[in-house]
Amino acid sequence: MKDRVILHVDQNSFYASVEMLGRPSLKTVPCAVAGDPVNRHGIVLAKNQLAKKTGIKTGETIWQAKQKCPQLVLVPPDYRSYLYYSRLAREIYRQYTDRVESFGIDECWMDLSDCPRDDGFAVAETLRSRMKKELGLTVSVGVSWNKIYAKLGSDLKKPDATTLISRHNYRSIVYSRPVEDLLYVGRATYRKLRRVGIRTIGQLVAAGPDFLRTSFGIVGLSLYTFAAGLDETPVASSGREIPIKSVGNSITTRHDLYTEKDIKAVTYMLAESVASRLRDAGMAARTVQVSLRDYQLCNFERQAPLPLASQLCSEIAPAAFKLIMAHFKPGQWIRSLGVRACNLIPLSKLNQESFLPEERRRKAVWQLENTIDLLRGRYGGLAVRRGISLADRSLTEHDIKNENVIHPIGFFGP
Amino acid sequence: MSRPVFVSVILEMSASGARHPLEITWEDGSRYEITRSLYLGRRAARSAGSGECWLCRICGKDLPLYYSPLTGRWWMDGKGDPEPAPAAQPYKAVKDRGRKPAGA
Repeated sequence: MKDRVILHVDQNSFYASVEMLGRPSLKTVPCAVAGDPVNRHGIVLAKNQLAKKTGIKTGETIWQAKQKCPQLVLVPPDYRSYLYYSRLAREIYRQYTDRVESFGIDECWMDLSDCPRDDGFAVAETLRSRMKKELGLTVSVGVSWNKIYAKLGSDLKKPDATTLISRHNYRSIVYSRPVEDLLYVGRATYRKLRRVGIRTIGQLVAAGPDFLRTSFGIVGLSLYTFAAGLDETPVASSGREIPIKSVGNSITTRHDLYTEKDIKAVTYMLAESVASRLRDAGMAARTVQVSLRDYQLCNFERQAPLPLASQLCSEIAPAAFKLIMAHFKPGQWIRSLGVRACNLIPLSKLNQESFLPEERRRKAVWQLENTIDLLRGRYGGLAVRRGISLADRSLTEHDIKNENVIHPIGFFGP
Repeated sequence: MSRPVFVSVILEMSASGARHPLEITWEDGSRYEITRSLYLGRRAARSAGSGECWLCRICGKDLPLYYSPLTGRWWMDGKGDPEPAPAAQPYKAVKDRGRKPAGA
């Protein structure tokens, strides 16, 4: 059987490249895109090559980065531009195949098997030159017969390069790489693998599926499949509908929350976005989940069933608030708060006419919340607000629904 | 070296939806007629940014004219140094209003 032809395209230092495209003088100085420290989002999101040379890493706090490089120029992120250039890049990829699967804003897999142009290396070279000529951005491309090696290939040579990992050269290229280069080998897995003496991908393959299965369970088997190039996960078609399993929003607030009033205001603000997004998706939730992170960066999650499947803020918010207060200990300061609606069912399964007064009241509330959605859609997310949100505007001056950024789903699906 | 020069443009929209730039006004106010234009598709500009590009014949020279749908602005590659890079700001610690004070 003919091998698949899979490309992984990674846009180099994407946020920083977009900023440098608009202001080329930033190429001459070490520069990083970083969040706003006032809103406690002060970490490095991307950096250019000069900043990289000073040892700055993505995810570092601004003060750590400034210690390494005091001349570092910081630029605030402009997500609108990043989404725009990400869409243009995908438009180019789609001219070669309909199977383009995004992995975050700046990475994509493409499957060229069965396409008229299936010479992966040639397409990769064309893509690179087109991206430079048409968008002014550089990409690294990995070409292989499976998604894992393609991704590994795109990470090997940066920036602006193509790496081909074929059946002939994969042992020499892949097996000598450190095991943490493999997708899904994070810090914890790396530590566990080191404990059993596995440091390279070659050693992982040599360990064999049976040993990995007994040592790490089902994950061990997946790791073996990834490392040996046996992964057969298909590249999803572009525009594929991903079934929604849950809807959630979270926020790191500008200052820690410790009063009931502040917690309530933020919970309602998040629940409003969650409920509105549930209504947009035509789903109702049967469980509400809250996640909290306190000032010591300690996380916990709690969930509770809702008495009736609901897509109303007036039912989700009090349930979430009750759940938080049940587990909130006085003296605890909350840094970050999240509300999630899960255990979803389509609304069509619920739509039974009822003449019970309770159901009629719910219907009226639904209409009210829907009208608020319409007003917000037309005049902005802050056009209609709850009174409670006015107590401390620094906490609630957010249009959560519209600021919501969809993060990439995991490799194993949502 | 080149720098982006933002220009105002007089544009003809044809019935088929095609756009033909007819005239540009340079930053110093001088107006130039475009005698011929050719749509090239998306191109990265020599000066800065990328956008939709037309090759325009102005005073007998073929010069690229760019349009960014993101910002809605038109620009051309002008002579001169680009705007200098901003200076690095010294790090100023932001008071974390939320940190729990000792003994609270």
